[in-house]
Amino acid sequence: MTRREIKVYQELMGDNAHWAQQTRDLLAKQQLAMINLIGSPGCGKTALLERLAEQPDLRFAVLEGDIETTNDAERLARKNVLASQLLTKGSCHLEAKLVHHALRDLPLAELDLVVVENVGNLVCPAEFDIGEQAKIAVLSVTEGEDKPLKYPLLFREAKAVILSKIDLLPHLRFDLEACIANVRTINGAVPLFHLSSASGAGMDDFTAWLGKEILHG
Amino acid sequence: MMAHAVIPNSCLFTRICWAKSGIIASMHEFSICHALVEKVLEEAARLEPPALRVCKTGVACGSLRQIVPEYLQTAYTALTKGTIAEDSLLEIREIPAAGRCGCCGWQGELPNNVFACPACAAPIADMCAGQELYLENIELEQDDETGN
Repeated sequence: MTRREIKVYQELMGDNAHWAQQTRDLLAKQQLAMINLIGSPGCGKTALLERLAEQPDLRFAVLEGDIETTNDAERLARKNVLASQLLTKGSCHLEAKLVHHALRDLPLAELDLVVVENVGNLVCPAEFDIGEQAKIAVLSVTEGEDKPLKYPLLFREAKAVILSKIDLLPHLRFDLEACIANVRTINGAVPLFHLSSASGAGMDDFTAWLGKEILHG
Repeated sequence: MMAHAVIPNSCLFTRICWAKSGIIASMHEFSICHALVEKVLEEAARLEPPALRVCKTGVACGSLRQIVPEYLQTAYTALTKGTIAEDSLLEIREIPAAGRCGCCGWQGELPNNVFACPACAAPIADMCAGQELYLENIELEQDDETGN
């Protein structure tokens, strides 16, 4: 019996990277944009998409990631948004292969944008490239100002950060300046949007950015 | 106006993944470990003669990756069961985060998730290390007679 060591270099995210690339190729071919919305359960991701549905000229569909239930897809369907519910049945994030196959089921020629609403989680979804142009972090002001420091990978990877539920600020002991400083510590130049889906405040800034950087970027 | 529709899309691909392992991949470490064990067994089988046993697997992991070594170990133990890598050791080597400053040209390690240049305080966008995740070596046993 001989014991030996072999040197290998094998990317562990290789299979996921393969499917992410397939998605990028498909999006490029269709001249279609895709964003990946990541935030805690209940931070207001779906509410943001309900607001986005009010944009008159934006043709978008949603790939809705959840562990269980079709509730969010149904909410969006009530706003006339085409939504496909991806149920992970226990898995804490969406991977590129599932997203790619779900994407191919959408009427891509009729769309300008696909929004992937990832499973509510600040950790795992940040690890997985799904072929999107941009990961967008959503942090609600009820979650606490230290979250960017606690979940640095997401805030590092994000191409934009949305601070949601800002209409609740008068009722909370939330240090907005400290939160912004924490985001800046992790990702110095990231665009930051203050948004309330309840009132619609801040939506114009966000959609202007979306139009400029994602749809025509 | 878009058509009003909900397409229920049960997660077929994830289900295939469960059937293979018999384990619910509820932590991302499990999902990553699937790829790891698959590659280790592939490499071991590719040798001439094929390896009889895998003794140790070495993984390099950037510090910006949110991989919990204990969870990766749990997944590794579970997923290697019944294979030639059962009871093998998993060694995780951490690669520190490092970056380059676009303003002053400083280059070096960036510990503790602080992404500001220690020389000029400018935010650092350009990372040179810390995101790695790869299988780097395998220690295994081969039969003497035909081994090369």
